[in-house]
Amino acid sequence: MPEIELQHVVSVSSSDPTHCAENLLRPESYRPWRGARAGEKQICVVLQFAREARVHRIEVGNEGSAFVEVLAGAAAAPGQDFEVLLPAAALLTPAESRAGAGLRRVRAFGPQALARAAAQRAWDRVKVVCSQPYCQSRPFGLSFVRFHSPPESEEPPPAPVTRLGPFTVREDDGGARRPGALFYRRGGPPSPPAAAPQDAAGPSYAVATLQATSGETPPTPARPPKAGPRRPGGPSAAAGPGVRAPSPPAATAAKRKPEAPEANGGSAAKKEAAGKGGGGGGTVPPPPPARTPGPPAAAAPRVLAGVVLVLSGFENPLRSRLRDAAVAMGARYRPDWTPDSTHLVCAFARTPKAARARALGGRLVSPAWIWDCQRQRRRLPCAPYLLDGSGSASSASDGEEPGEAPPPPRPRHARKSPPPAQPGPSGGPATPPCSDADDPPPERDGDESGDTDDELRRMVPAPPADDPYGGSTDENTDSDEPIPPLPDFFVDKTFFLYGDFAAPERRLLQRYVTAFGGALAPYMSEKVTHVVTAQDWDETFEEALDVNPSLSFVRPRWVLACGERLRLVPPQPFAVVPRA
Amino acid sequence: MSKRKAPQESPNEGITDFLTELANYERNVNRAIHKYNAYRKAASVISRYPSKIRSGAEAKKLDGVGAKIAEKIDEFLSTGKLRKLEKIRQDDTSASINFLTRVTGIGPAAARKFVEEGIKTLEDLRKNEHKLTHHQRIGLKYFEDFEKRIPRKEMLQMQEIVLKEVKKLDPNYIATVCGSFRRGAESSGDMDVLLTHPSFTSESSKQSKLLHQVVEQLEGVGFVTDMLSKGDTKFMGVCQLPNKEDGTVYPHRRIDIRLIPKDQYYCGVLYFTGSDIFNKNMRTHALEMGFTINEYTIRPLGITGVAGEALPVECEKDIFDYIQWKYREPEDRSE
Repeated sequence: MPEIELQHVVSVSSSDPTHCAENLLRPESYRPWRGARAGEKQICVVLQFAREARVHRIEVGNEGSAFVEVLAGAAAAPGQDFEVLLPAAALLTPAESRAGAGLRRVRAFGPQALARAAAQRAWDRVKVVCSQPYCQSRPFGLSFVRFHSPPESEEPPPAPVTRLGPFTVREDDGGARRPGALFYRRGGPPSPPAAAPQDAAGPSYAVATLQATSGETPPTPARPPKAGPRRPGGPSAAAGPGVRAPSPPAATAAKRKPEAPEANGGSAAKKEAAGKGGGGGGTVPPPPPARTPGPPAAAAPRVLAGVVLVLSGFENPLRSRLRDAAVAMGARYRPDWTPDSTHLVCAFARTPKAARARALGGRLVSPAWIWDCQRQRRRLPCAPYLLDGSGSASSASDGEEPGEAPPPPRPRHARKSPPPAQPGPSGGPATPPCSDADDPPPERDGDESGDTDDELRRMVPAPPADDPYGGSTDENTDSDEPIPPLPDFFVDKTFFLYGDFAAPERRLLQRYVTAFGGALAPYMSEKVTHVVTAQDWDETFEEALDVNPSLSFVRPRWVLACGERLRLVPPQPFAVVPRA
Repeated sequence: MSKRKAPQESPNEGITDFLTELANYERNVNRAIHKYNAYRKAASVISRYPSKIRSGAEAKKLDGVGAKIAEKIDEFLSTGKLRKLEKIRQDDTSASINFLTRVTGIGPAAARKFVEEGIKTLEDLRKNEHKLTHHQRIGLKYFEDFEKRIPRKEMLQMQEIVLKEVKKLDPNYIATVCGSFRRGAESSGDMDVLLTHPSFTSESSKQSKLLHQVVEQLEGVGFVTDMLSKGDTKFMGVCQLPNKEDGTVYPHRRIDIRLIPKDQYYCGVLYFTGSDIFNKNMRTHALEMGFTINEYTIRPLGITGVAGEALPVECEKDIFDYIQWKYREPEDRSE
């Protein structure tokens, strides 16, 4: 369990000149960090790791704090919120705090104590928050805090130069070994060569055949989706898969070379890269130019990097398992639909949440997508997992279908992991076949358990126009979403339909409310913001106002008027008011 | 905790009674739990008001009494009754629903269902016993008994029996009779016993035997007479004190026994001692101080609001201590 080296103090909310926060960086533990003065309630320090790492265990030497909490973040994204790594834990009881007993106690927090999702990711920055609300008479802090990364034994051997398909990663990519190691394992002999053909023999053999004839295979590893990941770690993360992505096409390119003579620049560059790597086992530095503390390899398990997902319709524990699985693969989770969300994983396609997500251009996928990605350790196209129409129109452009035409220009590689102009002999293609060994071969697309016919239908008519993106996976089709998203001006509003309505009218109202992002309450509750009624003022309205003074009483006509104009119209003309 | 009765005598009993009646109407008939809570809060604060209330304006100064309730108080004080309540009472359906929910095992939903089927009285229930659950049948059987309050004197006798039998079984048991009885109430609606054992913690495996052997012991001595339900951690049943020497028979009483892991015991005792309004206030204060309290644990909140690990608690005082509140004896927890 190697200790993670602390590099420097990024910031500290309060520290004593002698007992400064820098003391935490020193190996000796008798020099503590303390707040500047007595009477503070909470102090915090942000520490920078020497390199990005997963945290497996935290040891805290106390110096009079009652509670400690550790959050993790990324240096590359200073604006981004820290995530809780070690939820607030007690170091002293109130009585001990006041009496000043046991102030220097040491507590160790193993993997069980850490927030699971956060502990599975690599971080390079931590925020340590100490609080002591019970004793105002002495400054408090910590005498030390140590972070340990997971034990080596648990890891596949990380040290030896890591091979990525035909590439070799230089040691100086150093940093987070684990992900690199995973890469290594993944690329290694055990699974893929054996697994892939079997996969291909799976349900969509036809698809595989199709692809074989078309001679082009989209490698599935993700490319970063449209909204560029916010943390620069993201791009580099995405670059990981990107780096390895070239191999299958390169390999196939080699095979079908006759028909697809000279691909364009992008694929040439890539091919040559593949050739170089595969040929000599020489060192080809993975080229992402923007290097961040998180080296590209860090991304290996993070196949869902860039996915921002929202769950709907799942109950715990399934809900948390799904979330953890997705987060562990690099996805970001949002409790509710936000503008940056990309996928809604839902149990049912027809929930208000689903409707809203769909209206806003989100993709609705079944949970099987997450599980399959997890099982196969790669980003699967989500088209086969789409629920109910969302994106179905765009699925054609989703990537799987390279079209019949052999020419496979694949600018996406150029776009993605720009191999900094390495004008090399493109004689490489001869060698790549060796890369087949470690990379799931073309047929991998066949392994989705999607319906064969469906897939066929999607693939055959693939417009050639899509070819430039032919190799892309499933991402980023929002832009060609044909249906304009519905405005969600009713969001944050909860409606209660009071009194009698004709069935068609009730249904229409419900549809309007749901369509524009509002919620419907089955009965009166404090969540309700708008009471829709055709009746006159009623004394129960006054009681309801008692409970919730901001409640609005409106005529059904208002809801319909808003719907017709696709915006909120002033409710005053439609308000229900007490008779004078 | 289910069938609450009106707060006991006060100079404003008339007001608290009608407020309680409105509260029950909102909960049972309209299922508007927030209105129910609002009326209950008002009733609670008025019941503790030392002098007779003369006007709605006077009552309105109290926390929990708003404009509408003040108006109702005015109407009640000037006319001696409330139109709204009269209307409710005349409404056959709501009266029946309200009535049926007095049977243990029949909640607002079941009551509504029965009323819709035309079952509105005890007689109707008896005729339709096949439609009742086991729990509801027992509730029907002892309906009159369960309606009776349990005088504190009897509660003390019952407590003595329970504690004695528990200790007889294993002196390491810890048992506490919670509810309004612990707060010193002169009478109680039922008996709520919390039970723990040092060998049972939230880390250890389920130990339903710890609960079941206590129940069997109490059945053995004839104290527990019926069972409503029995799970791994909660027993609901019926008990009865042994007959007096002169042969007088005591009514049957409702008893609940909950088995709680030792580390969660005192949070449980705090919760089940109530009052529920006191609990709400205490939880609100805890949140202000950066803690979250529930029936099981007290946990510190991190800077992002994520609750941390459960704090060690060895007695109720510890919980007050964490949130820097002066300890309040159970008798002082009415609000």
